[in-house]
Amino acid sequence: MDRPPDRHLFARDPDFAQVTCPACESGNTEVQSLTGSSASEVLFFCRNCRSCFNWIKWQHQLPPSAAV
Amino acid sequence: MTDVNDDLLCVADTKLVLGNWFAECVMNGRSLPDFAAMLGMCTASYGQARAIYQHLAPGQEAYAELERGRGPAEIRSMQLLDVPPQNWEDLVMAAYLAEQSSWALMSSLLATDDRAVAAIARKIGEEAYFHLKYATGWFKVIASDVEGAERLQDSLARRIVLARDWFGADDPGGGVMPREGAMGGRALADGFIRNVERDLAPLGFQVPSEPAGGHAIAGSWDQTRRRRDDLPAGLFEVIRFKNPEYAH
Repeated sequence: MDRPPDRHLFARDPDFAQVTCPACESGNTEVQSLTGSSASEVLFFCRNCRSCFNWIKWQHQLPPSAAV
Repeated sequence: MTDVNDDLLCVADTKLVLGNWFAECVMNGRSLPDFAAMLGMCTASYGQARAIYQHLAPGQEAYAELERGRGPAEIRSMQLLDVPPQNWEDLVMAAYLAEQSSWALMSSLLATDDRAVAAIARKIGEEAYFHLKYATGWFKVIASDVEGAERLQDSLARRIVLARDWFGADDPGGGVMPREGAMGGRALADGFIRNVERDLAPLGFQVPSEPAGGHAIAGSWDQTRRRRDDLPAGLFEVIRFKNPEYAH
């Protein structure tokens, strides 16, 4: 079983909708890999300037709590 | 050790074992992003374990004892992780359930007065957020494959019994964190099940209901360790600290 590329799997993920390229500031970006060059990063690809960049993944989101 | 610290050690040991699972299984990844993700989750799990050990035993010798001086009867990891993964789907499901259940317990500590513990809980949550996203990404892929979906459903049925068991009984002495406003084990287990259903039910997977008659697992419950028996020898051999001279 093959896993489709993460750019398809997370194409509409709201967590990544506002990520912009640090080089050209384009919002036309896609997830390349959910883990980048370190555990704390997501690897992105900018479709505009065709460069890769790492994005720090911890943006204070937490999973739904069980203690509700 | 206080009851809260007992539970923290259970989470830390679970993360230690989970980190070793990822280290052992990384070469089974299906693609380059899988390798990166599993290595990332491996180091994050080790980091969480060591952060909790450090909190529980800040002195050098006490820390060394906690991290690498304990035997299989003292390790408190989830029994859910005692049996090695049987296939890829089982690996993803077991890791998901371990993350989801340990987060359920840690989320009950987010508002604790102990700021160090609350900070550890929040950090674990931030990392679990992406570990769970990785697993649920795979669930979407597996759901579209008939045989894979069957294996995933089978894994869920076998392992969720142990995940639910980890929360313990609901009597006042057996609940989680005996402190004001603390939730009982059953209430946390219910919250855990709700979160699992939220992820899996939309994909067509059925979360089994609790077995009739309560616990269907052999062995007597030890609330301190959140286990019913000792860590299997084979698993202990995998996780034990092999070269203490390299520790720092």
